[in-house]
Amino acid sequence: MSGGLFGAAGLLQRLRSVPVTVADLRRVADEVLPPMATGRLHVSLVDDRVDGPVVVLEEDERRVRTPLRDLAEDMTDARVGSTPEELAAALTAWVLDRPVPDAVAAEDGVAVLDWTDRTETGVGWRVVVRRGNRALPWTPSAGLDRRAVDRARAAAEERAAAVGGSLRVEGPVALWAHPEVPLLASAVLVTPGLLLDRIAAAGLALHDPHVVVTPSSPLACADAGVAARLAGETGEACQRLPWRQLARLRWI
Amino acid sequence: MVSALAPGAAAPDVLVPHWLTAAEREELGTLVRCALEGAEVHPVAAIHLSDVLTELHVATARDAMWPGSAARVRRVTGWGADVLPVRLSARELTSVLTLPELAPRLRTALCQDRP
Repeated sequence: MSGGLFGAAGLLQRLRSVPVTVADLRRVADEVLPPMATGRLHVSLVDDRVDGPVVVLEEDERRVRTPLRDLAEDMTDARVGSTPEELAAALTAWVLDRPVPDAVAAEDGVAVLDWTDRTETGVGWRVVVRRGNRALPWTPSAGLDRRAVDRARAAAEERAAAVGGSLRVEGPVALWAHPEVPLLASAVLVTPGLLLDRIAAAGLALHDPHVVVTPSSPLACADAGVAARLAGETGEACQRLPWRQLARLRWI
Repeated sequence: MVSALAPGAAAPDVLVPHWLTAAEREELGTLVRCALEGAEVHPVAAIHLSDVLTELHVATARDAMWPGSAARVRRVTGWGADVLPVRLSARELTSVLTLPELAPRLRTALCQDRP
């Protein structure tokens, strides 16, 4: 949803294999974690008799408890570099990727299109919350009232309509992107008519508009034949939808 | 399976990538636009040439949406950062190759499938 584990390592890093040690991670955690606490998010590093040092993140009803040795193993597997700066960046990314509480989703959630499952063969609406340059998915907690879920989704749709983006017309194709958080590009599709208006104002008249969606990539809008050419000749996972089908997409 | 195609021949509607530099794509676009503005182009050829123009835009749009695809090929081949695949059908390619104004260097680039 927001890059690889711990903020996505580059190719060179993936080729190296330097183990991350618990001692190194502990030193970095002592520096990095305390300033990340907020009025809502409680961050603590506790010593467990069995697990050793453990990071505990508590935010409303969500609680994450992870031993540093597990984190160190995961970072080693993800080929995170072993310098303090690289470990700090990875640990920060891990905290930012924590689960989204229900109240935060209700207050800040934005509706976007995302893959319905790992097969990446269908898209649907999902509430995400922006944290820095990433967008985190919200999964309603098990006991949350159905009406509260609906309210959070409705509010996320309203916020989505206000999410900006940039339009670029490339011949018969209109590309719509979010400059900072790629996944937010599809938020504009909660009001597809307004996007069509903007495309028309930019000089591109679409008679049978289709949209090509790959979550976390710019959206492409084009007439049916051009959209088919665009989507049909890529090896990338994408969904090509006629405009009228946008109204039928479901919540994930 | 019985095929009407000659062995090794591309199916008419299969789009085959031709890896062109930005300058070559620009040259190809200018050439095709000039041909379409002229009166000598056969109407059927004009349709294919219009599709070539569309593909030049679509190739750029494809790279904007999925920059990783072409980047992976460029990394392996060592091609320049401005090299992109322009995917043309056999008919579209023929419509370009029959243009008398096609420069030899661009013809070579289109025929050898690499910059």
